[in-house]
Amino acid sequence: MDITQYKVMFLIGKGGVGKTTCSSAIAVGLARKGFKTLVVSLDPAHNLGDVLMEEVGSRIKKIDENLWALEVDIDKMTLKYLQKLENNLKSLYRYLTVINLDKYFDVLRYSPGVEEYALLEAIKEILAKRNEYDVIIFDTPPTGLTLRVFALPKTSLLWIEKLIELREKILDRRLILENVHGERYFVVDGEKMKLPAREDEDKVIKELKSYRTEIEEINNIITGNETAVIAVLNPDELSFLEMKRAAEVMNKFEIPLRMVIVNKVESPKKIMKKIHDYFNVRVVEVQKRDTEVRGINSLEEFSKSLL
Amino acid sequence: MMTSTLVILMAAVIYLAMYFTYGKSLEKRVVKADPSRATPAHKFYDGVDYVPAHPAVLYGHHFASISGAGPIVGPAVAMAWGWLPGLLWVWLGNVFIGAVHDYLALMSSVRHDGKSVQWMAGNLMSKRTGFSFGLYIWFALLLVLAAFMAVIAGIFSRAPEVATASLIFMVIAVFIGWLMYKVKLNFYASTVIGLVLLVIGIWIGFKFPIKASFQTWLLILLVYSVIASSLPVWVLLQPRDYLNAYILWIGLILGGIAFAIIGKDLTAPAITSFSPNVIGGKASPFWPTIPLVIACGSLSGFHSVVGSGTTSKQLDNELHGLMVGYGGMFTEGFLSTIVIVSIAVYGLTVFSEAGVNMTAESWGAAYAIAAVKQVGKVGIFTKSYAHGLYDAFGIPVKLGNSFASLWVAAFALTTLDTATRLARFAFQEIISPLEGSGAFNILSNRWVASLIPAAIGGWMAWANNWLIIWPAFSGMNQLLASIALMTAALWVIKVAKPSGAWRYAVLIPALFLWITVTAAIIWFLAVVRPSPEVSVILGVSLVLNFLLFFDFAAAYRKPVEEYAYA
Amino acid sequence: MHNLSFLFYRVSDFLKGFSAAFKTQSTEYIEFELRELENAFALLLMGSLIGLPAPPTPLTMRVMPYMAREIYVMQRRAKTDDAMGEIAALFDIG
Repeated sequence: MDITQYKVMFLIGKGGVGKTTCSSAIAVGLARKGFKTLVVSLDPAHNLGDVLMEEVGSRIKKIDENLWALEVDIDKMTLKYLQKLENNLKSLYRYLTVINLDKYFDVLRYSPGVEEYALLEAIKEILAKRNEYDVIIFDTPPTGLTLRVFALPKTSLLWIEKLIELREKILDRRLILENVHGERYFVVDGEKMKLPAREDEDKVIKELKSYRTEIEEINNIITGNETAVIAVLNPDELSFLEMKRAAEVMNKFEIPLRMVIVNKVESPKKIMKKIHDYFNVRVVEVQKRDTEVRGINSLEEFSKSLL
Repeated sequence: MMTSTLVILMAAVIYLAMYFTYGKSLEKRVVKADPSRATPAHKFYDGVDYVPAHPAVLYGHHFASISGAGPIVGPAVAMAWGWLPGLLWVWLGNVFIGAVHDYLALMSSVRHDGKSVQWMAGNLMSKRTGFSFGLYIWFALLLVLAAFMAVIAGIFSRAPEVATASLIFMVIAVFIGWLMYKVKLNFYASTVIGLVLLVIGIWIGFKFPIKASFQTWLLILLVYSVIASSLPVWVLLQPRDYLNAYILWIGLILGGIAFAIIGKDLTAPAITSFSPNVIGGKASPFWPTIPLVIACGSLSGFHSVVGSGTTSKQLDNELHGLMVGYGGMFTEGFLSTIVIVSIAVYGLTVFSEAGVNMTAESWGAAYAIAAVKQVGKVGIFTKSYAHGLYDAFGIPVKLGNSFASLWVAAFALTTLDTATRLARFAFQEIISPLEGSGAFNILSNRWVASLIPAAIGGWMAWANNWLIIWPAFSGMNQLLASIALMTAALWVIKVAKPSGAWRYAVLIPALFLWITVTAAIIWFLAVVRPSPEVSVILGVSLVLNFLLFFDFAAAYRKPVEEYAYA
Repeated sequence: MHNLSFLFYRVSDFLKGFSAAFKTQSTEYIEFELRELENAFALLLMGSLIGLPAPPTPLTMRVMPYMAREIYVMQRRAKTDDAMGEIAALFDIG
């Protein structure tokens, strides 16, 4: 497996296995080879800056030759959502009576699934810049959340298809009524709006379709030939079992697991044979170090065993 | 001697006179219609659903919605008492109870922001009333399905040319639906094409009659109900319902004119006896059982739901309510009058043509049974009507009969379709407590939820004498009218506060109706002793009826302040 | 003469309205179905507005400004809770 052929990489694994270290190491290694590299931390518990020993913020910052870094601020993104939501609701509020705004904000903030959507949006935004870089490396949140995010495009597509189908039915019925009764207008709070009956006058279906295109694009990238998902685990039973389950899920959603890094290997153990047997991709063993790997130079050193 | 012209004229005079006297008084003193009060159409104006409509639009639409096969079938059976009792019930029952019921249901809905009677019942009386309503509706629908399946199967097995014509009518409806809703052809063009094809369809019916037995038709109708109710509404239901409206008005106007100008004598007996053989073939006392025979045309509970549908949301001005609600019901009464007159004039002729030995003397004992068994419960009307059209306009009797039969069948077929849909919806509400279990998953499947009521209805139609099914259905219908009228009475007395003794204009009919219907159903269960399934349905409904009365009495004693709307 | 023309006006006005009734008759079921579809659509996208545990999504955010009618139908349905009344009214069980 030639790691340099991939343009997008996701490093997944439990908390504490060494994802950030591996991500940073690969990033530094590729940057030193001349590839324009962007390393992104999606993990809410960021330690990208600590590992690189550089200041990394919520805006893309160049930290070395050919190397840029970013820590995505999920809270800030959620806040951005809320702001946009508030603006949209306010304009709707002009039309409708009694919308429970406060309750809706709570639902947004705390409902299950919000984090996943926010992360997917973050990934979308970053991937939109993929022409500016030769390779983008994502340090992901703990496995469970990441897998849900990976699954999201496919499940979203199913849902969007249903919505589009439903919307087309609505437009069809409206057109029938328009044909018999003439154009129809919806009046509320003194505002008069024409009820869209055709696709070209309906903003909703246009949004639905463009969103579908965007999601399809993301799904193509995530499952594509130029993307690699790299699993990082430690040489213990729990780590292995978790990653095994994750591999099954990834297989189902056609997420390409291309490499396994076993970090902090000490003495040879039975578990290592299990790992080698189960994963039929390249498995790299990394010895446990006495000192932490921190700082760009150490990371470059570390990267030699990975690339 | 009494002639048809006289009766038609009397009907017109009575209805018009009562409209302008009693009706106007109801409007002024009971409802206190206020032209300056904003109706829901203005209060909630949204350009789509809450839109003020021209009163004639609402009138025409409301009338077409409340008229099904009911105003024809019921009076035809009631002829067993002779033509006078039924006529009096259609005139007086309509004026003092039925039309009052329709009008008040409409106006109370208008004053309650367009909410339905069921919702109001839940609000004004108790939540329990609201729930029992759902269960009750499902039971009622079973009987609707049974009664109307039997009606159609009866028509088709006797007049196979009508079966073909109905089938072709369905095909035409689908075609017109496709033209109007998919191709989006001009509205008027589609309509004209549809009507022309309809005439051709009737003609084709004569060429290729489909012969099958009553039982076979029941089975076919069962399948039809399940399939039709699963189709998207624009495919069959909507276009047929639309074309039906033309058949209705043509039939009504032709009939009215025909019998007005014929001037023939009524040869059927005016009164046979107080208790001729009608319900279940047994001697049935006129009071209390007449509401079990004639529902629509005089008094029908289902009308209350119609008024609180779109009509109340589109009423422009409170003063229009009288024409729509009260006037609409009168028009239906007029339709029933035509039915009665036609059989009264030509009934004996029709019987003798069918080889049945019927005289004015044997009428009381034999009419109902002979009509069902030998001539056709609907056939007795359609053939009489056809004779009328022939004597008035020279239209061939066979053609007139086909047209009239198609009229009834078309409406009844629509009723089967919608009743199955509504049953499916009501069923899913009823079984919601079972949610989560495997049983729920099976039962809530739309095919299963459609099949169950259709199958039960079909089986009841098969296993039971029609003279039992029809009164059972009417009984349920009138229980519904009871609920509606009591709800309206409660609203009127507590909220609208009519002047002086006018509260009794509502209270007395409501109580009279409740007592009559309760007595009728008890009589039915005790004397006629229908089969277990019918008895269960009626029994449960009777219990609900008593619950209703308790709730009504309790609510009646509550002070006004506890009502949400004043 | 005035009375005659007034009568004529009343009659022709009635007939005009009356013929319009047929148009209503040709679409009432479709109108009901349309409301159902609009309600379902709004629920799927914005059910959280009326308390359904449906998470708002980025898509919700984007289409929200254009869904005034659908949200209105959803709210009305949630407030009045009278679907049975609406359906039963349509049905020619007369």
